[in-house]
Amino acid sequence: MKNKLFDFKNKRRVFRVVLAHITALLSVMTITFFIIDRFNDAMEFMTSDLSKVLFLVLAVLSLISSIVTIVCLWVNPDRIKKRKNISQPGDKRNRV
Amino acid sequence: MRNKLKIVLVAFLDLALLAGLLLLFAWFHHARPQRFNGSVINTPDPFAHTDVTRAPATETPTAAPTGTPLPPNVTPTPTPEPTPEPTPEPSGLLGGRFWEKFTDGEAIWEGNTYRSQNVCVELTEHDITVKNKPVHYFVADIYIRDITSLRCEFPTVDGGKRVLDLAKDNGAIVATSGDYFLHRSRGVVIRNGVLYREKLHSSQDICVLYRDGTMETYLKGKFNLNDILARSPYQAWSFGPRLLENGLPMTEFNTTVEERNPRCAIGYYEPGHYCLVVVDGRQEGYSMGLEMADLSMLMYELGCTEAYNLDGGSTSVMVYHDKLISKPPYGGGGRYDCDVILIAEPVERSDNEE
Repeated sequence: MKNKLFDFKNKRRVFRVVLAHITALLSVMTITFFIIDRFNDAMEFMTSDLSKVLFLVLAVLSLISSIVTIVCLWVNPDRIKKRKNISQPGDKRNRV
Repeated sequence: MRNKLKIVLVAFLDLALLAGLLLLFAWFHHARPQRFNGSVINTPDPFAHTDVTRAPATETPTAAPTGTPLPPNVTPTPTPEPTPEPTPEPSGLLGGRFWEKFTDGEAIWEGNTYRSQNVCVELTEHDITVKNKPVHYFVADIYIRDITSLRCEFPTVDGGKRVLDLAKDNGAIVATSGDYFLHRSRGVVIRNGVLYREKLHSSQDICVLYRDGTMETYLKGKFNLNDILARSPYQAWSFGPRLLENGLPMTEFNTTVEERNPRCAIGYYEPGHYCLVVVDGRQEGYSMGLEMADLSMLMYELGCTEAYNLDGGSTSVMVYHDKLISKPPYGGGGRYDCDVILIAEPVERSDNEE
């Protein structure tokens, strides 16, 4: 656990963590603009060209994040099962 | 414990990054110096339809030749008294009315009043209390004989200019902020007779000043741009909302910003007679601004028959005689790269243009 949070050597993990954080940040930004736009739509927080770029980036990142998640769940169900079995007490494989 | 600290650290980093991204967005969205990227859609002759009436060419009566001896049986007819030289009819938007507002040619600054042959601006400051809050506002009462005295300017080449800079650069007597169209992508834009943008904003009323000096406001979705263009518009602003309906104050508006705010508005009495109003706000103890309904009532009490709200908040400022007279909130001098509505001496025309 010590190295997992800031484990920068595992590139695949870093990619997934960064992707998740950026997607979350852009989502919060979108929610913020949506709320501001309800109060003052003249500022065009939801309709400006820059906002449209933001939404596009958010959509692309969300899509990548979704694909990564789906692939992980699709490819590794056996591994996940194995891990669950390993963690069960009394399992012989725990001793190996 | 250490793990919890790490989670807090990650959350803090996320929040810091979020704040940074929001600031970056705000900079690019509405703080960065802007240049107008739109193109001119049509360039009509700016003076083709200017309604400047001219004195009709009158024939002066020719005097009878003197010194010719008359026949003895003819009684001399009394010579007609010389008629005074016909004074040319006052020309321009106001016709002969409000002549006392103008001078014979000289330009005079008298405190809060400017008078010349073509322009008269009377500036007044007011302190009132609205719903137990102080409100300070400025009214520039404007009389012009030539529509080109009411112009709009915006930064075209170099960014980073405020209303004060543009007012100074263009010899403005009085100037206010406009509809801040540079930072928005929709809304019809006509400036000094040139159509720059025709993409309509679906939720905004518009205001059109025609070359004959009339000003009309239109509710969102209840106008045809082609009809407006056919009438030779001189200026069109897209912000709103419309503040008067048939000359009467309104209570419901096409806006989501109805609460107290600094305000800027343009009012219309008749061709050649307008007013610009700036209300300071967001400053406790000095001026808290006006709600939209109160602004509508103010324009009604000023006697306007049409009135239109322009961009308010930190955008709204008024400049008079090269000096910023209003107090924008947060101690600023208004936004950068805001378009301005200014009153100045009319554009001189060459013979060809006439």
